[in-house]
Amino acid sequence: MDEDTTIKERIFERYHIPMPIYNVIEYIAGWARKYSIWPIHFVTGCCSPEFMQVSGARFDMERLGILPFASVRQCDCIMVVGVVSRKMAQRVKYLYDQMGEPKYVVSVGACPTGKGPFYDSYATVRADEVVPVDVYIPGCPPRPEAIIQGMMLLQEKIKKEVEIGVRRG
Amino acid sequence: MSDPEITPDVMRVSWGPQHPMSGQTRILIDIDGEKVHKLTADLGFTHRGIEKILENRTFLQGIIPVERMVMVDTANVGLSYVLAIEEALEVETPDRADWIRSMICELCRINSHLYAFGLQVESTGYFPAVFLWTTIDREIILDLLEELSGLVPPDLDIGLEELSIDRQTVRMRVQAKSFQAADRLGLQLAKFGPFASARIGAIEKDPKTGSKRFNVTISLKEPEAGDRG
Amino acid sequence: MSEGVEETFVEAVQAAHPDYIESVGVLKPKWVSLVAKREGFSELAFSLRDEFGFIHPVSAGAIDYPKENRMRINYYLINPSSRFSLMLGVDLPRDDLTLPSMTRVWEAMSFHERETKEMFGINFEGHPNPVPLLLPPDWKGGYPLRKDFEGEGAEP
Repeated sequence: MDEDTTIKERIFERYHIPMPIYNVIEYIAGWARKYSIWPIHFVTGCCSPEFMQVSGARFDMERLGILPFASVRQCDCIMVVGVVSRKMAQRVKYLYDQMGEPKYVVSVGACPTGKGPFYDSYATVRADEVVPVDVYIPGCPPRPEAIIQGMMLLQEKIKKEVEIGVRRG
Repeated sequence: MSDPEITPDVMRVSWGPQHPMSGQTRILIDIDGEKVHKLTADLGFTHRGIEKILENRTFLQGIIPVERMVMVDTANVGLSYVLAIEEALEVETPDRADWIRSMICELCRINSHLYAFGLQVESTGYFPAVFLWTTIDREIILDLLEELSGLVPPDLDIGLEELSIDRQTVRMRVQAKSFQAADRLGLQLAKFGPFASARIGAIEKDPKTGSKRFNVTISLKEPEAGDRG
Repeated sequence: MSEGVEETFVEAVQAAHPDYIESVGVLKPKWVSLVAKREGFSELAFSLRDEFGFIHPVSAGAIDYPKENRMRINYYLINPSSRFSLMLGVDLPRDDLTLPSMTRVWEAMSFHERETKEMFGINFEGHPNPVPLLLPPDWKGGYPLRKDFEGEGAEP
């Protein structure tokens, strides 16, 4: 496959769709995808009650379309919530590999971002040594409003994606 | 991992570390139909090395990692650490401290039980209706604990530029994003006892960035040591 | 509860096993501390469980004293009928770290001894399942909770 032509150009050449219609289709696809991000229900450390409270009744995550789901194959994003120890880092990598494209990673809390209060410990790793992270949400633990703001940043990032699933940078 | 106990009838299932109900433990179940033969526990997924990092912390800094051993019920764990230090240093606490500690620990305990009830009912089927009810009840307790710790909500859009404190007054130079934010600061300050007499000065608007700056002057009647507790 | 319960226990233990004990003392109300010698540790443990009624094991841990060249292991036990607690300690020299395992006496010490073994390097003889408990399976060596632990893979 030629690396210089993008997916858009290839579809355009093959099916002869005019560009304005393709832009509309892309806009609708981006709007639909950004309002339905399903993360894996994967909580590691003490930030997990904040995750539960965000999906609770006062700060509702589901109005943004974010539903924590247990089956790995049908999820879009993995939210690494809490401390990642050395033994758990292998499992995070397995889960990331098992998800289908397009997929995103959000690191919630101070611990996966930069080891948090356990910065000089022999048994913790950062999340971006194991999986490529898209959005970092700091805090120990972060407020539910901060988690929602982080997810909205991820939504903007999805909306700005020129081609679906292609990771830039 | 080859094991001589696994026969063709018995299957080893891993109730793995990524599971909403098992927390972070991995339990290997040797199962034959519905009959369980043996359970093996595989732990260590949340091992953070807290005992080792406490060697490099002072006594007061050590509360932070110790409290993070438990997710929800943090006051009871912190209390056991603090009581051990007090016994070693032979420090006596006043009665009022014991009462306040009891109240906080009870609130945290109820917090933890509500969390557990909701998750247990959720694990019998996957519909989290009862979990949402217990979440609402937990919010009441969390609001109480938030008032105690003096946490100001982050949607105030306020930044602190300068702070000067002497025996009689506290002077702050504050920068806010909007006029409503300045009003809300006044309301929030009025809720705390010593800061109820705060006077907010004239608001001037920075022409370059559009942010609003003003002085807040708080006069204290009797200065107390550590009144922000 | 009369006040002399701890003292009667102290005298009874000293009378029963004078050879196996280094020192006995009362720490605070309801707590007795007993430091034993390494020889005959199993017999002392069996008799504490059977005759003196310390059937409830609570915890076990180790402390490293590199300057005095020893390590101390503490076992914490409770007597549920008379409700007081015992701290059973034994000193080991740092270059010969072996001890008979207490799993035969109190079954619940199995996890604690596994953790102490991988964190300090103490060998427990007769442990049914001496597999590392907490550290990751690709740990490159080194005992983390010793005071001269420098990093993973570096030998102290």
